[in-house]
Amino acid sequence: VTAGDQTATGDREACLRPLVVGIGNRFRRDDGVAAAVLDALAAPAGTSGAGRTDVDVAELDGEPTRVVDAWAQRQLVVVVDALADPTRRPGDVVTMRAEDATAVAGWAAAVSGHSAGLAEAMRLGEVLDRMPAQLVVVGVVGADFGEGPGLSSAVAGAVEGAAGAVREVVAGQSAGSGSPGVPG
Amino acid sequence: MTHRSAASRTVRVDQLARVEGEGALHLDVVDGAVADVRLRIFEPPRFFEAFLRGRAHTEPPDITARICGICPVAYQMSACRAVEDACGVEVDGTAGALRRLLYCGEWIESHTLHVSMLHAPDFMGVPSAIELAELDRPTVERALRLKKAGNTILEVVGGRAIHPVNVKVGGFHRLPRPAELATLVPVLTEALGDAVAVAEWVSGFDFPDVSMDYRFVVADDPGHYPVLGGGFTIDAGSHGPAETFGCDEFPAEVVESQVEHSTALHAHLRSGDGYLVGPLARFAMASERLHPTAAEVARGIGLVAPVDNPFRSVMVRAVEVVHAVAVALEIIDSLAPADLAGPPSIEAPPPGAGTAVGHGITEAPRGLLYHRYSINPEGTITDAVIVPPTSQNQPTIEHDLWHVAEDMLAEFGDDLSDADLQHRCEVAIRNHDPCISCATHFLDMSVERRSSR
Repeated sequence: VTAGDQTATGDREACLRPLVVGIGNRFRRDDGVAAAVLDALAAPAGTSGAGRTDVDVAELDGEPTRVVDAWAQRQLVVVVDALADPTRRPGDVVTMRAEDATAVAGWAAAVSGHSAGLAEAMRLGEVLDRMPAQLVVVGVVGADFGEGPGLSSAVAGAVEGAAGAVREVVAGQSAGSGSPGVPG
Repeated sequence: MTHRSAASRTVRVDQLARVEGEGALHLDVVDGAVADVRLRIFEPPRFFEAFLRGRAHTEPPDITARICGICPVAYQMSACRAVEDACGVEVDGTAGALRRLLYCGEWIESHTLHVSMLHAPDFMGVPSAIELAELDRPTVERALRLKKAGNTILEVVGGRAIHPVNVKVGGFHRLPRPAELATLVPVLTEALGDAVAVAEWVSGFDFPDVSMDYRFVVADDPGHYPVLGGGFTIDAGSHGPAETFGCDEFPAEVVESQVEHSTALHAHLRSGDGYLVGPLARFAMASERLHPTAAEVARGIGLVAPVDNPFRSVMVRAVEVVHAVAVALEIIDSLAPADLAGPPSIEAPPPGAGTAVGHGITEAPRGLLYHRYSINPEGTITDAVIVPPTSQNQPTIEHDLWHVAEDMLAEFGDDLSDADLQHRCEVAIRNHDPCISCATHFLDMSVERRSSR
C-alpha cells in the first residue's frame, strides 16, 4: 500500500488510516534505514513483518513539499528517519512526538538528501495548515552515510526494533486511546 | 561564523540553503579582487557508474532513477535510450509519446519547486519558502498545486511520483488506461492557468543587470523543444553557426577532467571552453519550438532569446513550465484509446555479437544528461558513464561566481559585507538550479579575504 493522493482527494477513509513516512536514500548506507523499516512493516504476515493492510506507507526523499503533501489531513503520521546524533550510539531508536521538534531540527536536515529536512517540512506544514493531527517521529541513529546500498551492522540490527516502535505507535491509536503509543 | 586576523578574513556558513544536495564554495579575495573561486561538488553518479558494472542491461533505468529524487525520469530516459541504442532498437509511437508526457511531469514538478520555492525567496527578500508562505500564502499554495499536477503525471504514467517504477528498457511495463489519462486533463487545465500566473509573477522580480557570454549545448530533438535527443547541438557563440553531432560523438566533443577541489568531473568542450546546459541553453537554441501558448507567454513577459542574464533564468523556467503543461495536454489529446491498447514495450535483446556501446541524451530540467553503456552479448554492463548537467555547468557556474563577486567588490569595495557577498553568490549558484547531488549534507561556503602584502 502506498500513500497516494487519498489525502488530496479528501478520501476520509484514507485520512483515518495511519500513514508511515520513511525518509531517506537507499544508496546512502544508513540513510536507507527508513526504507528498511518500511520493508519490514510490509513483509508478509507470518514472517517478522506484520503484513499490514491497516496503514499506508510512503517512501520519500525528504523534500519538504512532498512530505507536507503526503501527510496533510492525516489523523496519525509516523515519520521514520535516520539520525546523525553523536551523543547516541549507532542503532539507538528514538521515538518522539512532534512537540519535541527542537530535537528533530538538529538532526533531520543533517542526513536529508536535500538542504532542507523534516524540520522544514514541519514548519511549512504549520504555516500552510497542512499538519497531520498527530505526528510521531521514530529516529534510528546511523553511523555511516557514505555512498552505497546496505546498512551498517548496528543499524541493520535496529530495523526490527524501529518497526516495532512504529507498530506500537499505531497500536496505541488503534486501541482507541486517542493518543499514539509514545513512551513518556 | 567569521574569523579575522590582520591579513585575512574567513566566513563560514553551515549550509547553502535551497540548493539540492551537497557541496562547498570557497571564494578567495586578495586586495579586494577575486583571486580564486572553487565550487566543490560531491557527485554520486561516479558511484553509480561503478555500481552498474556487472549488472543486467535491463537494470539501469531503475538503478539510475535513484541518483536523483528530483529528476528520476531524466535518469531513466537517458538510461533507456543508451541501452536501447546499444541493443539497436528505437522506442517511438505511443511509448515514445508517453515518455515525453512523463518528462513533462518532471519538468513541471522540478521547475516549479525551483522557481517558486527555492529561487523566488531570493527575489522576494525572504530567507525561504516558509517565510514566503507567511508573506504570500496563495502564491505558495499555487506552486504546490502546480507541482502536484506534475506529480500526478508521474503517478499515472510512471506508476508513482518518486522513483517511478513503470519505465523499462523498450517502453513501459504497463500503458495507462484511457480513463486514467483522462483524469489528468482537468488537473492540467487548471495547472496551465497557474503556470501562466507564475510566469507573470516572476517577470515582475527585480533582476540585477548582468550579461554573460555563454556557449550553449542542447539535445538535438528535431521538431520539438528539446527533450529526447537524437544528438546534441553546440552553439558556436559569435564564432559561427551551431554544429549538430550524433550522441556517439559526445565523448569526442566533451572532455571531462578531474579537478583537485571537487569529486565531480568538470566538463569542457574539446576547444577547452566551458559551456552551459539547461533552460537558458534550450531557450536560446530552440525558443521557436516552444508550444504556442508558452511562446505567447514569453512574449507577454518580455522574454526574448537569447537570455544572457542568468538571474532571469527563473523566467525561462517559468515559461518552460507553461510549455510542459501545454505539451502534456496536447499529448493526452493525441492518444486515442486504440493507441493505449497495444503492447507497452518492444523487445530489446542484448547485442548479438561482441560488446556494443550505446549512447543516450535527454534534457533533464537542469540540462543535458548523457549516459553511455557498454553491453556484452550476455546482456551484462561492462562499462557505464554518466555526465549529469550540473557537472557540465560547474565551470560556467564558477565563472558566473567570479564575475558576480568581482562586480560587487568593484561596486561596494570594503563596505561590502561578507553576508551580502555570500548571499549574492548563493543566488548566482541558484540561477542554475544545480542538483549538487541529491545525496546528503550541505554546501559549506567560505570567503577568504587577504592582502598580498
